[in-house]
Amino acid sequence: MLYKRSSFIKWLSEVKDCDVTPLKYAQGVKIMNGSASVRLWTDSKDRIDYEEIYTVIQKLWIDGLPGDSDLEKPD
Amino acid sequence: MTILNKTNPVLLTISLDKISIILYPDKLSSLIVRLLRIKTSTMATSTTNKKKKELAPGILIECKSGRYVAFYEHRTDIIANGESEKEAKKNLKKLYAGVIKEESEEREKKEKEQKALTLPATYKIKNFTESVVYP
Repeated sequence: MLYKRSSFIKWLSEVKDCDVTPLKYAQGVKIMNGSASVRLWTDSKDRIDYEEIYTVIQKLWIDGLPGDSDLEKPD
Repeated sequence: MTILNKTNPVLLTISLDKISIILYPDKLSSLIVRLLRIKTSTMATSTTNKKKKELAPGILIECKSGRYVAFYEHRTDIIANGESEKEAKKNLKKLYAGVIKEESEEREKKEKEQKALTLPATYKIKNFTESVVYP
């Protein structure tokens, strides 16, 4: 299932209090949840698969996955 | 290094490699040339070794939508994606290079800060030991 990447990042920062900062030398963002961090590739397509969401959530040690109501679907 | 005459042997000491060789003067020039060649080739190898690229194993996840997610086994925190396998791998390579560059820059900055915290060389310091009870 595809979702908007921006909606997932927004959910991470607003609901899960993660710090999101853009990367200096690459097209991507660094997401931090305490000491756990993940670097994600971002592009203009603004799409993310649920498989990637699941991987990111595991890496960040976050309890609970976002549901359909938390994320936006691409147009 | 002294050469007494053509028949006398010469003691050649190379400080860099700590080698002492006794040889006759007529063979000396050819040996120096050989040693210089070895030295230059060693230097070239050591420089290339630092920049040597290694094959990194990675994992590609094929998503239900047909897109791909990729990451390296040694850095699972760097995750890239793409419409095809090729694109996902290409994006991961770019992302990884950027992250490594940023991290090395941060490391250098930290090292500089740590150096600034050490005492200046002009300070007179003495080491001592004392028997104490640790808490």
